[in-house]
Amino acid sequence: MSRLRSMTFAALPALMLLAASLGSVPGAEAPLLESDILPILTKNCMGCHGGLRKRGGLDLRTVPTMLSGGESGPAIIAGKSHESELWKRIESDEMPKGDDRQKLSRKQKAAIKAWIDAGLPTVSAVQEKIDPLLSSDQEHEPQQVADAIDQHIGRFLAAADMDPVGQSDDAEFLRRLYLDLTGRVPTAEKAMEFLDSQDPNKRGQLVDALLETAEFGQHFGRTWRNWICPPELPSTGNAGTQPHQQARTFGDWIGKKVVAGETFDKITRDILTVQGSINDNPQVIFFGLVGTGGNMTADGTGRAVASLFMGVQLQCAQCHDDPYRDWSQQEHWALAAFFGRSDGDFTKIEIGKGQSTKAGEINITPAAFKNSGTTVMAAYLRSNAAYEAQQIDDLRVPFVDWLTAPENPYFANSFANRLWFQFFSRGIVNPVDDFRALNPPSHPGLMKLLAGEFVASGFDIKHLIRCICNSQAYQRTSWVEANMDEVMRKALTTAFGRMPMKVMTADTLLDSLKMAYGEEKMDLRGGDTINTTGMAATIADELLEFQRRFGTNEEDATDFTHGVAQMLTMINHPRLLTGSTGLDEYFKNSPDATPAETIGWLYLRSLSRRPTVEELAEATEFVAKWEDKSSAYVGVLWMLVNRSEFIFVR
Amino acid sequence: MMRAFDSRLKRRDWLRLSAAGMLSGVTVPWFESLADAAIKRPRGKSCILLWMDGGPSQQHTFDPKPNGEFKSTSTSVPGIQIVEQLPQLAQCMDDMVIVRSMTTEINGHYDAKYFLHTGYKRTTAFEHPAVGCLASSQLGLPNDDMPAFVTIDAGFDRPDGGRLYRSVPAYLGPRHAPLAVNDPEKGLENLTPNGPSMDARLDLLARSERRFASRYALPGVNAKQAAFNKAVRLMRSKRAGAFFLEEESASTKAMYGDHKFGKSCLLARRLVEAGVAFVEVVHRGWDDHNGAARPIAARAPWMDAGMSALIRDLKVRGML
Repeated sequence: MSRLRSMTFAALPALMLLAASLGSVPGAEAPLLESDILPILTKNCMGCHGGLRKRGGLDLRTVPTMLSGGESGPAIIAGKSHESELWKRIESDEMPKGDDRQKLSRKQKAAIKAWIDAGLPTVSAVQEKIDPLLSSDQEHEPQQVADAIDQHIGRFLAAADMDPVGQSDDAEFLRRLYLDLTGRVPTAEKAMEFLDSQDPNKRGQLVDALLETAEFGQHFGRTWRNWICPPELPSTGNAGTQPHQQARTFGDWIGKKVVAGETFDKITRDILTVQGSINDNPQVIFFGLVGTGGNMTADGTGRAVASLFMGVQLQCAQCHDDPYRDWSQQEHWALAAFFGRSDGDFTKIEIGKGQSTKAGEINITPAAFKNSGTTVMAAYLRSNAAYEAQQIDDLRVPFVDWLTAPENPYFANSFANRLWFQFFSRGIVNPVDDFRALNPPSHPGLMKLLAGEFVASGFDIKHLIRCICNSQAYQRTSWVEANMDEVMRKALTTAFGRMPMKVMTADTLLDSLKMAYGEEKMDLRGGDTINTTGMAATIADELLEFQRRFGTNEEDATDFTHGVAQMLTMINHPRLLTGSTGLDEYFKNSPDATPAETIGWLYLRSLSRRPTVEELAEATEFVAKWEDKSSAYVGVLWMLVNRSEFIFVR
Repeated sequence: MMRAFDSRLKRRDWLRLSAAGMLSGVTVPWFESLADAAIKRPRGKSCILLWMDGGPSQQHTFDPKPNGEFKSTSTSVPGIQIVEQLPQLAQCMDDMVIVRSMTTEINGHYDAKYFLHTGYKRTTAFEHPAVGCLASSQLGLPNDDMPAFVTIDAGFDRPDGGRLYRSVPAYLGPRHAPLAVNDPEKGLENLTPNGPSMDARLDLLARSERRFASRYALPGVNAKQAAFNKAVRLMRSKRAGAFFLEEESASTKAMYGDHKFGKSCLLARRLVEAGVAFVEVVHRGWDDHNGAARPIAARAPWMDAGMSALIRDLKVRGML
């Protein structure tokens, strides 16, 4: 019975959050705050009754502030809409105030009334009771965790009455895993080895093997480096100040640590408490990258730490209380205060000077249009652990102690969610840095499970990746039946019952082109139009220019954003038509290769699979018409990299 | 119907030229007269923006002051005077409007560029579409060979003026992003068919793409194939010759001047003529502050030539 109950609880919020994409909510009785009520209040009411303005003393951002109300008393009374001031005023169209304002629709009013009468139900309250299935007291075998992941997702799907799609085939899994973990396609030889292996455990073994490669570290590092500061932002090669070379070195530094098995708490500590020069510590650049004009700022650091390591958005609270989310300006600056006695730029970080004149307190800067000059004391963000003033300058150390403690509510959740986002192109909490009570996870049990396991493993990054990549959820196909409609496909993908098809990022596209052509370098700029001066339209650094031109939608990896310019590069750039070092070597090593063998080899190194009978026949016929065999096969390679199947990760 | 006929004709030309091995090199000789091929756009339905990045000093250009560093000259409109360094523009004044009342409270370059391109003040939380992207979404013909919005880089005098504003389509979607010409003398990068047997390769590709699209009927795949097909159509379009200056007569080129800016203006005219709705020419390096007189005096001849030639040329062609 209790098992059944918890299943219903797990399903209900899941359903509510899916409601938008499904269009209707089967079996839902009372509206819930997060899914049904907050969107109405945010759009219509919080402009005047939120964090920025509290007209009449009323703040509608949270249930407690609604209950305490404003000058006219409580805004709502649980279970009694007819006695609730909020209901009276919206029912009579007194609010939203003003003749020019759109009043609430009958449907919106009905939802608010029903929610009050039902006793103010929230998703969060329901979610708190959910069982993560595995205890967070000890680390588990990856497969055990993977099974628990699938159980959570299975319950969600069952409750929403959806069937997951089937498992990916070997080629699909192989290419996806290589691109997700190492950021590039496998070599033909590696692909063949995997596809031909009869070992039933070959998928798990491949995950283990790839986690030990330098390429895994490089890709992990650059993913984080891009999150810290997008590479296309103005840099030294583009009339800005971002030193992209050093930023890349920082990414490599993270990657090497991860491959070596360094845990995430240790890496975080190494970044956030670094002192000295960039020559000895590449991570020094972090503070400049998240600062202003290349210089470290305490508040910029605080906001970046909140977004990257805590999953919390404090950017609005720099200048005023967040109008819609329950974060105060005080909380933003209290976090910034931990970084107030360190200062520097891209190249160095020193302790004992900075924005704060005294350790543990900071003045709100004049840039903020509210409360500038007010002194704020350091405090941990909404935590049971109170910060006690200490007679040391470097308060970053106690901050990181607090941040990386097992019981910290933000650290493990934030990392696990970002990792999930990397694989599924959608977080369990979305946006990935918007954790708060009123933005609950779509799969609360799954979120608890992953964060708990991450803590139990001592923040072991590779362990958490193993858990995810061994799950059925990760290994599902991206293919859907042709008759499935778009709404259903989206809902199924959102529920993690199907793997979305992602567009290669600029980094993975360039590296995969290099792999396919067998080149160390691949410059796809416009030859002699390259101008090395700062303001040039074409950037002197070829990778940076490629990132700028082939950048993708960072929030939605399924979104294909390239246009005519990118396609023309792929179609006509001489580099993709004049030859391939890999192909030359292949001919040298296998002079007797038949056309079928050569074509098969080209398919493996670009699409990580063998050609179908039809594809082989077409390519053979194509090649046969050419005098010059080398050009003919380059033509096949050109065709392969121009295919949708190449630029998408199935 | 017209379109189907065009594409058959193109294909035949294509095969003939492929066989003759004439597909290398920049010139694509079978382009017909651009004016014939162009879709006739109603007057006032296209726009050329000449963006002098950094902001030319008004007293050294169109708003001379009595005791200013530059002397003023009378223009073809009695009562309007501009600096004497712009004699050709002075003669075009009857086709110009000068706005001398514009002010701004924004003193940061990037924020000001953003404001003028989007009509909105910049916030960090939201991005607005640029004017060219808006033109693309409102005036662009969805199935046209030509892009609706092209930017041309006319180079720079000195690397300042702050971060370059790049037109972004924001919520309008990437199909309204500009197609960028990085060098007016070279035309659009990678537009010219390259490599042997393009037709055979495209055919081989098309067969597998059709199969993939039927197996994966997803919006992303559709978007990829649509972008690819649009690129191929542009590459094969007669009107794509508008991206290259070769066909212009020596006297026309001379009128626009030898500077990259003048060439950009000429290219802009060709593009608008070929049906492009919005062209933005960007020349950077006008952030002169004190001592603007000397650098602007040096730039005035080519600015005068390029801008006035564009106005005269558009007028002669009935496009003003």
